[in-house]
Amino acid sequence: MKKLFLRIGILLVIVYAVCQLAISSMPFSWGNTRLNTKFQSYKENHEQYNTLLIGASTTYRHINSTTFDSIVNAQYPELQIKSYNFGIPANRTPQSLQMLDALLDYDMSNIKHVVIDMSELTKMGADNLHKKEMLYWYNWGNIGDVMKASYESEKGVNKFGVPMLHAFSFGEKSLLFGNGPSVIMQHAGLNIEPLSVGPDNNGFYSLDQEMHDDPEGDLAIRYNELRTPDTIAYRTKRCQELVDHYKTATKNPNKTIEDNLKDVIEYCEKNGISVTIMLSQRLGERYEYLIPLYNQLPEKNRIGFQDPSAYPALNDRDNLFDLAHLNENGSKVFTQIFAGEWLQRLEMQNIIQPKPTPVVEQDTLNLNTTADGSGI
Amino acid sequence: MCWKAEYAFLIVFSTTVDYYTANKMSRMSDRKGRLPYLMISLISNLGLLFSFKYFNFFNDSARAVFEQFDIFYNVPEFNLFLPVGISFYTFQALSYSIDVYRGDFKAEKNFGYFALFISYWPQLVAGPIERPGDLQPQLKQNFDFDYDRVKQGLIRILYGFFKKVVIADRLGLFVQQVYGNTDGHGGWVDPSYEHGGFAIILATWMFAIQVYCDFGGYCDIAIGSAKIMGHNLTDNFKTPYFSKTIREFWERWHITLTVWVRDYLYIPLGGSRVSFGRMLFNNWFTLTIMGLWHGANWTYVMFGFIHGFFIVMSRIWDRYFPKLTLPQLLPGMKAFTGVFLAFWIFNLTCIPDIFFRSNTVGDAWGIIQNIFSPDTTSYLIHNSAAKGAVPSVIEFWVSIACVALLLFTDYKLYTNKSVGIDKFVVAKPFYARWSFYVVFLVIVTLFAYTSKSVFIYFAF
Repeated sequence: MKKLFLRIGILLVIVYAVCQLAISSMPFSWGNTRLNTKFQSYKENHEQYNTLLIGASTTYRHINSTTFDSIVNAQYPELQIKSYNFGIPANRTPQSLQMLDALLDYDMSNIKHVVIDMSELTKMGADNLHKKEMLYWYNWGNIGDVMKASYESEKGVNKFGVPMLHAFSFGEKSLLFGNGPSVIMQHAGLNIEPLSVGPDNNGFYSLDQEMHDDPEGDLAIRYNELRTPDTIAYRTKRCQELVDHYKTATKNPNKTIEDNLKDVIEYCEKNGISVTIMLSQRLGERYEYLIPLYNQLPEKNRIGFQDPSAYPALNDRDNLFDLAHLNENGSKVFTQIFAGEWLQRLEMQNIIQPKPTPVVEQDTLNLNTTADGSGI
Repeated sequence: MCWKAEYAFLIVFSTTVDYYTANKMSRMSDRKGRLPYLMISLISNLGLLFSFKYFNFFNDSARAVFEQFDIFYNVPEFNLFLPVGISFYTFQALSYSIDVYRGDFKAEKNFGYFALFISYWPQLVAGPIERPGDLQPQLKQNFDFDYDRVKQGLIRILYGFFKKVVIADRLGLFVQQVYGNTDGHGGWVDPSYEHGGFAIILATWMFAIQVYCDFGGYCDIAIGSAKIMGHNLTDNFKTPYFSKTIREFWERWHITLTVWVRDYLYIPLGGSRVSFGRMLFNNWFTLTIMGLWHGANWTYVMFGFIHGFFIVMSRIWDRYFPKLTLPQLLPGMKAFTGVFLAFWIFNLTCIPDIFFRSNTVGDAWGIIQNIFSPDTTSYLIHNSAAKGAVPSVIEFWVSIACVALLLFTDYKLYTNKSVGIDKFVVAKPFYARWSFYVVFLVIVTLFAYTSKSVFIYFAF
């Protein structure tokens, strides 16, 4: 029996080595076609970008990089902001951190600013098992923290079940289980969706634009059926209740993610990179974790859009595409709000000096959109 | 098809009845005395099978006939799920009772061993259908750990996984593009995805290989698992797609069912020791019953009926034109005739497969008619990375490459008297063995199709 186990062990080591070789032949982005497309497009001109916007669909669909750059540069030309939107639908915070790690590893010499959009922490459903989008981002450096973080944030049997799902997925990733076609697709140059980098080729792709580009997709259903006055009212009320409940919560149930984020801030600042952590307005899911975690982050490094009453424009039906996302017009509104808030954080980080608030034309901006109601 | 805890009662019932009747029969010296107990066993086993699998089929068929003549028919449908593996363990239990009745096998006195024979887990749900004389004595043997035997079992399992999760599940994607788009009446659900010509032929070829890899892969895994535990199960497939006649095909395809039907149906009907015409009927009838065994649908009846027709035609040809065969007409072209005949027989078996895969006979006719319509192969695959259920061009070429590897390996087995892959590999030198292990393990690891899917034969 010893002989059998020895030979099986040797065989598994060989197979593991072959799989690792295959993984090492691909960029970090191989498991997500949109991310891969963005990374390929970013690589072509990466020396001109100095700001990375990383996060989920709330980054991808909401922050128009071109608008953001022009607003910021109009006020602070010395910053010479050129941003790339690395928002990816359904990206989790640990995935964003892995993405940032990989991008800085690739070339951090030009990077001056990083924005990370917080998302649901570590939740993953059994339905997503085996999907390459859920596998590609695990590595030896993050699996321990991801398991620990999910243990901290889950409840009941999920406290053990979800970490096990992560461990299982990490195992699948390590062996590239069932992902041979993805390896071939990557090397054949087929792992791209050219439209997903957006018309300006900077990673921003509004949902309206995507619906226009792919009229047979399911976006039209989302646009026409989800965005009713009743559902919007319910969603806004629910978010408000959660925000009010957790507004002053100080007990963060997820120390691991908090530590990860603080480590990122510290590391980046040491390397001359400003970090801003953003909490977007969401459907309300996981606010019980996100808001207490947000409350633990340094004020100068965080921007929170979670409170519906503070940003009524973000709940205006005319600005919404569906219940969780803004449309093209909403993204313009949000980008302007975000740019203003972000500049305030740079001021707090002593990267820029305060300037008088510029006057913005009424017809392009929905005033009364900031937390204090003063407009931008 | 379903798993339900209460359905365990069925197998317990079947096991108890057969244990009781067999032991009763073994105490009687003449067949006449045993007959009532055999009837109890047959009625209870076939009754269960009929109730759970065939009642609604015959009921619906009868209703359709009565409605044709405007006769009132009001027998309600049974709302029952098909218990998983019922066709397999029922046939296994029946063979036990019949063998004991015939005096070919002594009834097992120990209920535990008998229950183990009926419910032996590697082959419980999808065969091979074991005969009591083959499996039951093995269950009583003690055995020590045997490195070579375990190695062979693992090789068999590895090859089974290659067939099942790499080839069968992946080919199913393409097959579904055609057969999943039929409307039940010979038309297409989505008219923009009409298929014709080569797309249908390709999908049907793929289905033929899919069903072989699905069922054959499952059997390899079952045989390998049993081998690790020290038991030898019967080979169910012996490189069937290299057959050069339709009769040879049935000697290599689902062997345990073919042998079962031969021994318990074909021979009792008279087999081939009757008039030529009666023998043809016996062949046709048993093949049609074999088709019906697969499922309660006219499509399966047609599957068996068409195979029966092919067998009858081959019998007639052999009788009246014994010298009019390709190898005799082209004696100097052995390789060509071999390849041509294998390809010809493969394509012949694809015709009943159209019925086997279709949801209704109407769908099957629709597909056959559309073979002659313009080609729309491009709908089977898609060039971009993510287009919903339409598989990508990469998946297509991966499938083709894996099928090529399967055919190469199966050809090697075929030319080695169709031994099992395990025996074939262990007889090879060190470098060849390890190349096999590494290549197939890497392929199974990297190219397993990981979306949810079930063994097709679980449905039977």
